[in-house]
Amino acid sequence: MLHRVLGGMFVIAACGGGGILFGRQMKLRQEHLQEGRRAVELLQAQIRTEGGSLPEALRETGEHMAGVYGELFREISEEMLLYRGEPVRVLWEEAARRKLRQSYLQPSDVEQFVLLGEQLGMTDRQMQETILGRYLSYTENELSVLLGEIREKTRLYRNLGILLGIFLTILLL
Amino acid sequence: MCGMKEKDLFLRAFPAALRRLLETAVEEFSCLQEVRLRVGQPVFLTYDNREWYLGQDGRRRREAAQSFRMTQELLREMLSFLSNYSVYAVEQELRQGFLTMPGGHRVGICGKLVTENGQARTLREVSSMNVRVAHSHPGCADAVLRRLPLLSRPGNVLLVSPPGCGKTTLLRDLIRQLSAGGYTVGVVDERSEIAACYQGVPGQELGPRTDVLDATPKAVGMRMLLRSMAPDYIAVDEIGGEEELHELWTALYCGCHLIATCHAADRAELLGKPGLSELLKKCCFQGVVFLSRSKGAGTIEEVEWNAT
Repeated sequence: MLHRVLGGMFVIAACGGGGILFGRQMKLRQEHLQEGRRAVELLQAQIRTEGGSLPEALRETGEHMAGVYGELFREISEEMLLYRGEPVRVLWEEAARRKLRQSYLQPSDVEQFVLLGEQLGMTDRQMQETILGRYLSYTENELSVLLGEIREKTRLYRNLGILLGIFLTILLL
Repeated sequence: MCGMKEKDLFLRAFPAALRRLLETAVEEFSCLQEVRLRVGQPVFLTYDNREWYLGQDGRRRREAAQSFRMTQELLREMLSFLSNYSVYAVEQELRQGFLTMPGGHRVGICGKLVTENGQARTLREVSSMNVRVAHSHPGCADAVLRRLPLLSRPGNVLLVSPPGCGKTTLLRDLIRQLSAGGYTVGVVDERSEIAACYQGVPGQELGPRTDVLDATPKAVGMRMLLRSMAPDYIAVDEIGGEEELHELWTALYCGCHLIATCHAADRAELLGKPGLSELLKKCCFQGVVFLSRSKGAGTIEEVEWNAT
């Protein structure tokens, strides 16, 4: 009997934990979106105030950022300075897909970030502002939606996990 | 800079597809004078004083068949490389229709000019480019200096020729030799073509006593040099504007000497230029040198020296 109770408790705990982890992914996505937003804001400020070249701006931004975006920006900058004859969009896309695969971003978030590289450095200052601004608006929208849902959904996933655990325990018993 | 490094640095500005072909086509970098790129048209090279088509296999060809054709995408990529992936950072240069590459090679650009309140804002939809290769030929001014005693007796010199005849190359070597000869030379390099400054560092040897005002309009630069650097000589490329000529008069009154270049095919055309003809009639230029390409770029056709 004790074994059955212990087993049941493990199943409930495991399913509850799964629910909590599922909710935590939303939290991590929020953090990565915020980090990406900060990186792009910094890049925008570099371009606006320093007016230097894109590899310089990416390197500077990368040095001020920790985490995946810092690494990503530094890597793209280094690739650019090798002058292999590849356009920015190719270097950007390759590095972004490789690096952001490790993140908790959704495919649509990665696509938006990849799109940013399509026009980066290819247009005048006004257009650069527009392109960077477009990504910032996207992240702002996503973050505001996430912020509204995050507490509610985290609780929901946790409770659903526990309920699933109880259901499975009843079935097993 | 050795030829190989110069060639590699030059080819960096080209997209990978074009770079591979040019690597084959340009056997001797010192022979390459110009690369012309136009959307949908064959790529032309001026190599060893002759025009060639760039072949799809990277060979120089005399006929258009099998020649490599330029696309708008490649031109867009090239503009990105030329601007160090930062078109937004070179808007001012684009408004003037050219960019300067590391090494001082000048790239003329055509496309759609975007205007705002009647002022040029930027250039979009690039349709053609003309890459003019800058070569330094140390000693090319020797022949001129043998006939113009500038090292012992300073004077004002005007170098005259149609485009592509070596005025700037000659001007560069004159500056270098005068500077090495003990004269302080101020250079107003409006198009970064004389000193070939790239990110503040001159790419061409101009001598130990040379001060360069890079990317500065000629009239403004001449005024600045006169006020701040006390040059023995001021060197400017392609004079002709009203304001430039006014500053030129000021410099002459200040006891400074000038070396300038000017576009004209011959004396008649030169005398037909308003402002300049007045300077010539008043014998402001002690030396006038006419260049052509009759025996290749830099052929000295005529040298006048009027010391009175």
